[in-house]
Amino acid sequence: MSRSASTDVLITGLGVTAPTGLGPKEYWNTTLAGGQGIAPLQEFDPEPYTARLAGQITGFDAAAHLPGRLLPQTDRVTRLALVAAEQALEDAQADIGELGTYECGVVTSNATGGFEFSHREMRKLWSQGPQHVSVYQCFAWFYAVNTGQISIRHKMRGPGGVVVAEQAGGLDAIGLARRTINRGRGRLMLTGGVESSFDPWGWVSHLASGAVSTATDPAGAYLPFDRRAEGYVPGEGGAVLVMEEADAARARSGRAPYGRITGHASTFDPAPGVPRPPGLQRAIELALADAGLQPDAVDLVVADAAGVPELDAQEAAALRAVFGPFGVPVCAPKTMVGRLMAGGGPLDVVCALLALRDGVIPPAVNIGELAEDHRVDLVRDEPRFGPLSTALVLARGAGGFNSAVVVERPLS
Amino acid sequence: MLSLDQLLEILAECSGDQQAAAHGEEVLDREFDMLGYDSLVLLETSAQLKHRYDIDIPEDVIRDLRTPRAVLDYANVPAERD
Repeated sequence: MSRSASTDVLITGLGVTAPTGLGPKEYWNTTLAGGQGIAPLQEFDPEPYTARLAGQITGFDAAAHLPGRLLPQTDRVTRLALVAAEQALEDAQADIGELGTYECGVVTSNATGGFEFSHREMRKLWSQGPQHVSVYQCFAWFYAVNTGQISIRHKMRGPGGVVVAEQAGGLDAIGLARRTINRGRGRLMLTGGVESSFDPWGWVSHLASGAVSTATDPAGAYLPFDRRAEGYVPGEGGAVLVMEEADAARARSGRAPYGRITGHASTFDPAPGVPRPPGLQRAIELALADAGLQPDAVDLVVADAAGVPELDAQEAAALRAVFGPFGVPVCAPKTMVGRLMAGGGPLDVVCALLALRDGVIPPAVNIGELAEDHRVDLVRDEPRFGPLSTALVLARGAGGFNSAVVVERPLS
Repeated sequence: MLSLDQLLEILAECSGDQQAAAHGEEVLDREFDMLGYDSLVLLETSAQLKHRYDIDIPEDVIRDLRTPRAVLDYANVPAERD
């Protein structure tokens, strides 16, 4: 079997900030138990808004995790990203000073920026005047700020980047980090995505998608592939992963790797009304080709799981076209936390890595009867046990973004 | 008159770092760089001095003041500015 990418790229550390847990351990335990991270909005009165449910990280005390110096200059999203990054580096037992500051880089994705920070400063601008706006507004709102703050804090001065591709961006960031290592430009990369934008202004922006569920029962709001699907629930958080070139990882005494990223592809949908098919199937086929794998090698698909009937139908059609009807187990851990924008894909990659490690597929929750036409083998209600070696993770973003990542168990 | 304590309190709030404030007079002649206060902290401090004490230190001036003593001298001896 030939592989198009010559370099073996490992994941050696995980950091998670999710509605179902801080840290990969808590997240994974809750996920296997089918936990529920969706609840009514807590930070403000959601009564005047059409939608009121979100996947929220509750009880997060930034001051307990970060130096005081970082607090005046960071939005909640960056605090969550910094916590996830620190967890991942600790998990990988990586010492950046030892590895070389210019050998280590950061590539993250974010789609909404630092909304709460901006909202507060805009209120000052209009009510008190421009002199009252925090100087940190200049970068705290920005999509790129998570990469920048992580890079500064950990002195990772090598290749840096930011990918914005709506909800597919998190997987594209992982793809870009892998490409960076494949080209010999870095030996260790922190990559992934974190999102948080649940102040009232951010919430209104989520609602603008027109697809946010207006249901009030957390167990009935986000039901991908279900006959009752009628929208999604936004969530906050995400994941940051440590990625290393395999030889470089072996050369240091770190932890055993979780797995390998062996394929990635992204495609773009045709414009509305154009008689060409959506791009998801092509993304799947290209990612598998990148990994040098045939569809029958895939043991598990972590689905994008839109929760919007038309989008569910498109994803199911792509899965049937590549794997056949009911041809591969499909996992939808997003049902527990909602859709985390740029954080969703990386969190699903964490889920895939841990599923491969433990030989268990976590269940989708709250799902009743599947829409008949989908013909997908959605794992639900109970975890499904069995040996797993290869997973495919999918993500789509509004506007036409599709991304696919292939995750495999470490070589023994 | 702007006191050292008042200045250190603003610096601590603007930076989120309380350490220098705890050292009082010891830090009078330490450079802001060494105290961990970067140019953005000084810009924010310039705005806060204006709001709280109506003390005007323009942004392009405070950038070049290297120590707490230099800021106090500038703030408290306005006549010498011209």
